[in-house]
Amino acid sequence: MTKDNKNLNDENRELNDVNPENTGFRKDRNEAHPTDIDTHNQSGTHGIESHDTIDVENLPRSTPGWKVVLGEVFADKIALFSLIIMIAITSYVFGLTMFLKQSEIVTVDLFSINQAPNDEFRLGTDYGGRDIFGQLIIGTRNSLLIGVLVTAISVSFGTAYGVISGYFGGQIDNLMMRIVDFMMVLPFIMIIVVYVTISPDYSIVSFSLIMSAFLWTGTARLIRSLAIQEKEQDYINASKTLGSSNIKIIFTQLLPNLIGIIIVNSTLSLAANIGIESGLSFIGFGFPEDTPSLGTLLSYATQTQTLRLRPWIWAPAAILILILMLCVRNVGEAMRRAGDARQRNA
Amino acid sequence: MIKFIIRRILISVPQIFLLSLLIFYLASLMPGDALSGVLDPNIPAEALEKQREAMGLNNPWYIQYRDWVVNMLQGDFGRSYFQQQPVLDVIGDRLMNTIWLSLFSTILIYLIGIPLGMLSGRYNDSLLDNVITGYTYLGFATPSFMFGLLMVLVFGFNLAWFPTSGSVDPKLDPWTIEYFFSKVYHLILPSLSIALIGLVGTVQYLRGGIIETKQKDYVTLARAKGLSEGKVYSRHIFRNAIIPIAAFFGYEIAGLLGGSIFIEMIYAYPGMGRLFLESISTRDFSVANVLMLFYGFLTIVGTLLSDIILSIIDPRIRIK
Repeated sequence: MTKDNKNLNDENRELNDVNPENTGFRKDRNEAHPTDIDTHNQSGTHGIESHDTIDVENLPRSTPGWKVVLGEVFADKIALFSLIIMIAITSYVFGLTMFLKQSEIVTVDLFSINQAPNDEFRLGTDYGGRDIFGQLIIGTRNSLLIGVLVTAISVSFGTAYGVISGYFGGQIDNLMMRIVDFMMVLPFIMIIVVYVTISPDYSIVSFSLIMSAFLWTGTARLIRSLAIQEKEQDYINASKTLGSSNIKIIFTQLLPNLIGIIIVNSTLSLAANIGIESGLSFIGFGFPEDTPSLGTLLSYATQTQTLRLRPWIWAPAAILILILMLCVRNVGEAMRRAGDARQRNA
Repeated sequence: MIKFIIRRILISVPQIFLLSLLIFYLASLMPGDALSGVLDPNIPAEALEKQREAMGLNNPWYIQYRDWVVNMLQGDFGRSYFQQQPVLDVIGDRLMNTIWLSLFSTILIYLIGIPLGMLSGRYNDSLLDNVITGYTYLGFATPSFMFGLLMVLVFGFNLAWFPTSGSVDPKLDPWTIEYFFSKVYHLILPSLSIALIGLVGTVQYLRGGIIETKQKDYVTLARAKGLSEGKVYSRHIFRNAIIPIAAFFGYEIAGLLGGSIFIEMIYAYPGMGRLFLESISTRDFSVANVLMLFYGFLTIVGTLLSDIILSIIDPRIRIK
């Protein structure tokens, strides 16, 4: 768990180090922005003749951040391969779970305990006679679902928090960052364990919420540091001078310039979050046993007998976690390279 | 610099205060109170109620909070509901075990990670670098608990080189040399499991730092002066590249403390993390609360230390 957290922090550190001059998402910044010129002409505050001669329709536009990111992923063969595997696993798992009944798979069958893989059970059964293959499919689905859910919640909250903190600055920023510092020292694994134990009604949604409550801080820090750099840029100042409201600047000018980094951050967080969730399930405080995740299957391996003699129970889950983590990381790393023009392949 | 350190310490004070408030709030949500630890089923309910009143358990929360803090400052951390003895006695050795584990892992991380990072950075894009980078690539993707399971299976069970549970051979007397060696022997496998995965961050960071420092003007200058390649690296490049690694020392320890929970569970190692899981499953919340408080406190101290070390070795931080 530490590792996952640390990975994320390292990631953020690295991302923080990305020099704004080299950041592809913001390249061609000095080129004129069509909308700005429109306002210019209408308001007529600057009667510079040359403005009228600019062909607004055919101005060179910078490549949007998401296009740069996608281009890099497609150019990197390993990343592209990883993306295909990810899509294949996801669609296979989600497609198959439509025909599998979770309640049927998690029903204890005492006549088929701990069976090695055979014709009836493709990957064998666990100590409750439950089909490993079915649990693996449903577990992967649950792990992916919760990973995506937690990432979506924590990244959107972290982004909003970071943008507000960085854009407005001053005392607000100071206070908001003290809160982040505090969140980061909390023993969050333990707090989640306590929450899972004492909360009478916990579900996928409330579990994701409590996880997200601790996992948005990395994104918030990253986005804040970028927002601080960005708000000093000429295009924001120009927009301010023209009287654009803060909300307009944030949504139509600042955020579009950060979107590339936000996508990269989400991808790398996704890997970390899947790891954290399976870790929690592994120590028995993730989902209940009737909602298997990949970590649940691994947690069977804490019994010595299962670990030594029945690898079919835990090995597929372990391999699947490894594959998923590697694929998500490959894609994320390729995206991160897109953010640094020096390293780009495409 | 003194000013910075004092400011940084002052920031920790509200952190500790907020942490204690949060834990106090969590504790109030949990079933059971201070009396559950001394509970005798033969005591009638009215007597219990009287006792509660006398112990101040019916007071408003801020008075209870004050009493709770005052008691802890005097070394009274409450009683375990389950084991019917003071919480500190229950935690006792467990705390030291976890600190040993974290310390040992940290030493291993630096002992293995720094040379790997240096080699990888110095000879970047060589075969050696590719092997090391491949290792960090796999290490980043492997959750620590999965790697721990693999280690215990291979070296603990199949090869039977190391013990798979406990922190010391129970037959030995404390304070003997065998006792000490037995402790180290029990520590090797768990801390290796933590370190071999934990060091990937250090290796990558150091590698990146060295490759970046290599291109700095003062390195070119050092070469131009005719310094030998070995000296250029040892005197100029490594020294600068290692600054952030040294600075994250405190964070590293703080992080390891939190992450030890998984490894302690896999190796049945009697540390705080395992005790925490045990106390949660026996609903021994008074112990769990104090453990959370300890973990939070140790993390705050760890980050505080890191920031102070960083301000000493890197003056640029101080200006802020």
